[in-house]
Amino acid sequence: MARALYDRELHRLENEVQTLGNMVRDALRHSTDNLRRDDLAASERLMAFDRDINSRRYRVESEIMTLIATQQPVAGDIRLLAAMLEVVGELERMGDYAKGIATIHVRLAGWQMPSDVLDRLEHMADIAADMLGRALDAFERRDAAIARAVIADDDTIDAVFNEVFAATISGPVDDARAIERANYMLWVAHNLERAADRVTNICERVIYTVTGRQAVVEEDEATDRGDAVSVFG
Amino acid sequence: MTVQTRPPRLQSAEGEVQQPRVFDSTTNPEALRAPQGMPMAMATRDLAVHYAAFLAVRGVDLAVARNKITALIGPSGCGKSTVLRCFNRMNDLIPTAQVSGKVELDGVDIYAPDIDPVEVRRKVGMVFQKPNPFPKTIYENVAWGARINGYRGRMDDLVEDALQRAALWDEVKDKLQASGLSLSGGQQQRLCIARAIAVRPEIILMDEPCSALDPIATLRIEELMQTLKSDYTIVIVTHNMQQAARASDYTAFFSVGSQRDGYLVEFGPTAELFTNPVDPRTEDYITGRFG
Repeated sequence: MARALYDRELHRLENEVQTLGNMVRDALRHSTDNLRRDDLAASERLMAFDRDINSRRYRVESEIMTLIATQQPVAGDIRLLAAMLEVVGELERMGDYAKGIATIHVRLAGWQMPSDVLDRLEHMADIAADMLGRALDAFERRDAAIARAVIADDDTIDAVFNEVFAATISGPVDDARAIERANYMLWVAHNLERAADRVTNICERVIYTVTGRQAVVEEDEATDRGDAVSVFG
Repeated sequence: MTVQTRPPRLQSAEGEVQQPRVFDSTTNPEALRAPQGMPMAMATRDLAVHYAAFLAVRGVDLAVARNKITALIGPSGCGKSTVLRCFNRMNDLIPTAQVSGKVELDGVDIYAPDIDPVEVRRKVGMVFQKPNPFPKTIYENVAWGARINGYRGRMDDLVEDALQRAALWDEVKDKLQASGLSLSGGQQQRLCIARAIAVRPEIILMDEPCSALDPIATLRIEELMQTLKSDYTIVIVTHNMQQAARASDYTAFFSVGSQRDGYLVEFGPTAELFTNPVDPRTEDYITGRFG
């Protein structure tokens, strides 16, 4: 192999992206698990864990820039590295969503969410984490078909979000504390829904890496319906 | 919190390294994307060159767009310089060279029996790898080609114009009677470009014009090429892939077959070829994984 050192560095960076992705996937799952168990200490640890995610993101980004500057990658290599730059940014933002859920948990200060809402939020976290896992797999395998299938799954999490929305706005409208709690529950759902959106962005990068063509993925119609999603969009 | 790591892409979980791809030497028609919707200055049709019994390059169909820069890249022995020399019949000067197929300049076959090769070379100038100014004054280096071609205008104006176009005038206007050999390497190469321009060619061929120059002089030549292309068509052979990527509008990638026969693998817009090549052989070469 004519560029053994370069290839080794490229593969090491790919592994770094995968590791970051797995950290974020764990963070998403833990965010709602902590809510279910009402484990405030675990949510505080999750907030601290976000700093690890952030620092890894910026270290990997810096190393990608160094590789681009020193090795002048082209063709599939530059598409891969450009995608990796984008993907680490998306992952870091998804970590912020998990941290946001942990922060909400701490602010709720021991108030336990209704179990039907918790069920749905856990379901959303499972969907988002599963989508992320498959997106990372698609990236590793250079499989555009998997990436497209993951994008299609975004509708599923949007449907659950709408269920959470319907469940939370059905409460009393003159109780400020109830409204505040409903608001927090919606923010958790929103963060999970946005995390899944960012998984679709990662999948678009996978498709670009594999095919060399920018994937034009239609925005979920929910964002244009003027319903709950656009409130947070 | 558990963190999983994954194996490198080219290695399976069991540590089995993927086998390298093996290719035959056929040109993939889908990898030939001729410039669309613009006038062509030159074109080859099924061009092949033998040196005695040795087939150096074969089956080249290439279209050179007017007022664009076309780069020919590929490993040593792939025939890119041979093809370049066909564009102004420089191969005629090699006794064993035999050219078949067609090379057209403005639609005229320049290898047709009634074509004067000297006239071809006036229309298609050439700049070589090493700067090769004549051991004469800067002025004479530029004026010489025009003079032997019977130029009857004001020679001073012609010399100044050629030196201006070659971005050398400001550096030599006060020492036009100094020897061309007294200039730096980069200046000498620009003098050679001025000498080529002075006979008013349509096309300038450049055979690794920067390989003897330092990086700053190289960038000056590349900048100059961008200026020159508004008046001339440029075809450049380069071993420097970054140069092809930086400086050219179209790139042709040549490779070598099992019998050391060169052939065209891929041709298309430079931006596409360097970000999304069609043929895996191109990808392997430009990413440095060739051979």
